[in-house]
Amino acid sequence: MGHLDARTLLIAEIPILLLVGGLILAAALLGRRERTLGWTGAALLLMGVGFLLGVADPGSAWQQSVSRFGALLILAHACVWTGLRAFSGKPPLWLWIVAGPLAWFAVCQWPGFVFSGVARGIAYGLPTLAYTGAALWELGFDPRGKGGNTKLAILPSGMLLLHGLLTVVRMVAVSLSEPGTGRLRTDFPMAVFEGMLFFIGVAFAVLMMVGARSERRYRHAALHDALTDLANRRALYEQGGDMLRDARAQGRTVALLMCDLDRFKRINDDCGHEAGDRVLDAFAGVLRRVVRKGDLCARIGGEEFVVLAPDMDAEGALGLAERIREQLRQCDCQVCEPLSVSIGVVCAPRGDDDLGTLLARADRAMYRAKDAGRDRACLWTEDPEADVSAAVARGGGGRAGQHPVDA
Amino acid sequence: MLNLDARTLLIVEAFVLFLVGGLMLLAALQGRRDRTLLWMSGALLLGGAGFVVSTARGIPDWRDPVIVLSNMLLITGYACILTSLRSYVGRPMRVWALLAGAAVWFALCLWPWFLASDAARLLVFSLLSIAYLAAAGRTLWPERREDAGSVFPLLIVLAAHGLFYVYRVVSAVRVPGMSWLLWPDFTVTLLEGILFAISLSFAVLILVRARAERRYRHAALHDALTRLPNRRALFDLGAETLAKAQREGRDMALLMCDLDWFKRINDEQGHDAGDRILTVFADVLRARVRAADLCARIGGEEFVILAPDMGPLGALDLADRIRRALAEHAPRAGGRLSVSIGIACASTDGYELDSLMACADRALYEAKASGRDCVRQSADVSALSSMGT
Repeated sequence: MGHLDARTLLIAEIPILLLVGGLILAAALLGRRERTLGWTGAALLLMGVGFLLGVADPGSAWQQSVSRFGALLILAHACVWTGLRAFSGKPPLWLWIVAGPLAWFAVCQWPGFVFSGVARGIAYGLPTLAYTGAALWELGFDPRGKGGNTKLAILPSGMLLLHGLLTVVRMVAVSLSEPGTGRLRTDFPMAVFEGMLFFIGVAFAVLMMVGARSERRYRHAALHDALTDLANRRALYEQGGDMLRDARAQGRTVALLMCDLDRFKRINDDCGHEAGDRVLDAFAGVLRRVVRKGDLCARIGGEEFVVLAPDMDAEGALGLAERIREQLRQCDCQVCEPLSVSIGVVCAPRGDDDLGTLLARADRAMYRAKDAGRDRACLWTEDPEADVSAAVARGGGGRAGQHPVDA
Repeated sequence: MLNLDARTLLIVEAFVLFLVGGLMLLAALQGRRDRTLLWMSGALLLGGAGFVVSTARGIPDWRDPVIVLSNMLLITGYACILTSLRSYVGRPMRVWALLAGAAVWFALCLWPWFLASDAARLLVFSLLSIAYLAAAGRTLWPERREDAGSVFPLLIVLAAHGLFYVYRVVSAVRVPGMSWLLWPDFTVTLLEGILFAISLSFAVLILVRARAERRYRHAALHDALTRLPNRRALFDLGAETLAKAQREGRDMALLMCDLDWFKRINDEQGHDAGDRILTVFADVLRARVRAADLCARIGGEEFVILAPDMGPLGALDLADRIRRALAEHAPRAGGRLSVSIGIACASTDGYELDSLMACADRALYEAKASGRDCVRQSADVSALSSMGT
């Protein structure tokens, strides 16, 4: 491994870095202008240009080429860091981006520095280490960042960590070695090679992270209601089906609550669509506050919401319905009418009913609650006569004689 | 030429392939275990292994086994590319296709002349690679209709690499008087291999990701039951279409359709019957609207048609046809079916989607109040209410 040919490496790296950088940049520009990819592509292109200048221009003075090459490499590290900042939705810190390369460029103007291998090794190592550490912080360790949310973040984190460690090792090695003459050190090809692998690896890892995140967003949009961010009908059928299967396998009870906001059409018509949307959002908030962690809340239609609660019997479900009504009464969302909800409750002992059946039964119970004057919860039972007597009629705002408009 | 060091390039290539292949393997194992990525990572890792083996070529007595093994690994790598793309289009793995190339190579290597002849080996290796690349390209070719933007990059990468090998074959044949055709340098092949592997991985990642996004996007913008666009799609596309109509000074009609007695049908005959009715009605709508019309299910039994270049008369006609078509189809859904429709037109009710919907909603309410199974226009409704006051 010690016999890598430095010239071959340098020449081979140019097309590789330019290709990967160009591809990533193209992906950034052609797609939804993902900034993370833009910065990462820029980092690779800077590396490639750095190598290209180094190879294509052998006539230039040693001092010049070292200062240029180092500055571009340090800038590339800064770009990787900024790309990961962009992944968490943070803006670039321009001052800090240029600080590292400028500092390097400044010290390179001093001949004593350029010809000291130790000074060079340390002055190059420190800023790259700082940028690498900052990038690592962005990825997983910043508690306020959003970058750590993806499992794939472990890939670039590992590479940044390794790259940082190798930088430290090289800095230690260079300071322990005797003062050099300023010419290329023997481990130079290895450093160049490691740098290339690091940048390519980070580029691919970032590409995968960005891809996984946009996939997750689309998935979220496909399974959630845009207004309330609750699960939608599709998600209810997907996840609710699973929940019922589990309950059946374990012989547990599952309760389903069908909630329908009372006189919602009138709110929409009288107070405007915005007020209607506010009410829906407020009700979603109520549901989120009241349900337990494993319960599934979904908005399945205009003003229809479903709560699917595993391990809950009829009594518990009626209690939950009561808490929902109570919370809704207390919530203040500035609409012209008092808010109330009618809830149909159904219980599947041992989970032995499919979701469609449960929904239909809860729907029927909900209708009985509406017919009995709204603003109440009603439990579905086999016998419709018994059903009415079992209705938990705590009608506060329910006005008798007002039947739901059956459209 | 550039006079590069072949061994250094081999090591670089092996490292790059292992790195990219390993990353792809981890990505493939995440979540849904995407087989396309899994096979592609296999291709990259096999290629990397092939290059590691070929670095041992200089060791005395190792030349022949190294030639046999490294090329078998590389050829199987190409076979994995084919298998990966087959799994992308939903076709099963074919074991014989996976192993055929390596088997051919092994068989030929039993023949000492072949092992000794550089030109013959180069020819056979190139032809095998071209065969796999062509098969991979052919597998992917029909997919271009699905999403050209993500399929063509990969097709181009495959074609470019294939052409490179064609050039290699041509140069190996050594046509007299065409010495400029001669293969410049082994190192150029290696460098091209690295660039191919990187572009290939990139193109495959884009291919797989684009399809996943496409599917979720479709799911996010469509109603699962009727496969019509949903409320979100209506608001995304509708505002755009309306703004365009306003710029060009064209009229636009919005029909709000609400199935009559739907809740009752749902309650009395069960959700299955309700769902059947919704699908029947969606089919009725699909058959009646023009290609440019946007037809969406925005709620339980509420459907909206947004029709560009349609005035009040056209909208009334369309609504009437929908109403009659539904009555004809009612037996299919098991019983009497009807729909109430409210119409609003951009020229009279404004080019804002929200206000247009509200106007159509009012007209719909009027239709419901007038006994259902009928059509009302927003302009008439407001005229009526102003007469009342």
